[in-house]
Amino acid sequence: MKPLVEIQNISKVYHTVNEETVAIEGFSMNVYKGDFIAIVGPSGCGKSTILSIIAGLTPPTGGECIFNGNKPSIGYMLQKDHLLPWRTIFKNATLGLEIQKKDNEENIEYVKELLKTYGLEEFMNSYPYQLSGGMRQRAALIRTLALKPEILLLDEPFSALDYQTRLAVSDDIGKIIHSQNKTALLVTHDISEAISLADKVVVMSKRPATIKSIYEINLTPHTLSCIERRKAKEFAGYYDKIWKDLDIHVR
Amino acid sequence: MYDKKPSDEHLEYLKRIKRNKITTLIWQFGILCFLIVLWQIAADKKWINDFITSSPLRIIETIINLLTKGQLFTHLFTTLGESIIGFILGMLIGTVVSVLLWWFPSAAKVCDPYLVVLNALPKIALGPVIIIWAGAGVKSIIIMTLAISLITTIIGIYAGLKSVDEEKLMLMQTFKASKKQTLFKVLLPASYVNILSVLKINVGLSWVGVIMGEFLVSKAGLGYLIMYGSQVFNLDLVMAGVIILALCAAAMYLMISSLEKCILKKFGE
Repeated sequence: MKPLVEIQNISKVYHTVNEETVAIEGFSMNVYKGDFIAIVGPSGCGKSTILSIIAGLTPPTGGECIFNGNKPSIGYMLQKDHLLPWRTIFKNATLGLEIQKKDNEENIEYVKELLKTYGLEEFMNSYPYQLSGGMRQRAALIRTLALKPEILLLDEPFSALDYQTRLAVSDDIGKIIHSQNKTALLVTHDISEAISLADKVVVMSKRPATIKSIYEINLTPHTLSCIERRKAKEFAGYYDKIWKDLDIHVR
Repeated sequence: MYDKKPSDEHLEYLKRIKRNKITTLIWQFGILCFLIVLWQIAADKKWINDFITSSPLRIIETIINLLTKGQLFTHLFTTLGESIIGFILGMLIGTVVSVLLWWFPSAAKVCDPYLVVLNALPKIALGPVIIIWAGAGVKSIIIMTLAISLITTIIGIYAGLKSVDEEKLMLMQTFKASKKQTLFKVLLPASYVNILSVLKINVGLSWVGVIMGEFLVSKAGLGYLIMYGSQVFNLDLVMAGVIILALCAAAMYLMISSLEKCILKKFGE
């Protein structure tokens, strides 16, 4: 099987007046259809930059992203939900469709279906401030899914939530992404989040960031619920290895 | 919203809030009445020279006089019209210019020092120039109003556009939105809080501009009334003009601020 995306030897250098910073160096990875890959690394190591390079928002300094076949459509989810406060949940969910002028009946129906499936039907005409943080993040995911992206890029999508909500929402969103059979790349600094959601965890080094190690996550019993996955007996082992790889010292 | 009857404690709390409100109102109103009565007594008892201070009764008399002769509305509507035109023009031109500055960032950088200097300049100094260029008429008054409110509007709205969360712009980028779409779907609506506060400041500034303009050139208007009154040493007329002006400006401000409340409430802020 050919990978969906081949990321080849990507590097990124940031320039400021005072200095230039090598953020990423020689990052290569293949993403296959249906993969759920988590990228963990120390903060400020350029994890988010990788996502924005794949999304085509930032050009890499060196290397390239090769998309096999047609360039797949990409959905991006950010740390905060960024729902627009003057639009209802429904209008927020259809924002992307509206911008790309794809707001035809079929797609609108699809969004309604998603809202219904993920428990936001009765809030369709509510404004974002009337929803809890978890519901808002779900609405943001639906806004992303509305465009039927083949690859989902998730940039610390849960880190603005408090811990309990975060567990519940990541469980929720993990299930949604698996059930929609999407390819997803998740950037996070939370090791247990990465293990509980992804089937492959990529550990990055400090800046200039390179890939330090890659773990295939195999947990028993096999389940899609992140909360259940956290109880698996292999969980602690992965956690320990990744923590050691991250090699974080407080100075 | 309440399924059960509110507790006594809660009722007591609500009562306390209400009482507090009423007390504040009584004090606010009381101080006003006290000052007016004190002013009247001081004038009657000749503690103050009522030739240069006027007195509440004589101000009321003057206002009634103006009303019956039908002059009041001429002056009032002249000033009101000028300030509304100035206000609306200021908002429109200001918004368009700040959008242009946002659209062309390099132009914004080039314009920056000009804006800073124009903002710092006391615009009233331009008065004589404006009269010579635009003639002694309503045109000069409107230009004066614009001179006073425009730069503040531009700076205020531009700052609002720039302060919209970078990530919201990134979100629009991921949707491949055009610049125009980003502007109309996110930037302008996102800066509504900012635009509303600029509106509020502008109401005050357009009144300043209009009165300034009327002081310089005018044949009618509240500013004219005040200026004329002071030149013939009719302090009753001056005071009456000032009071009507204060009421009008306050009314316009209240209108804008209730509009603001209404909009903010709708989006839960």
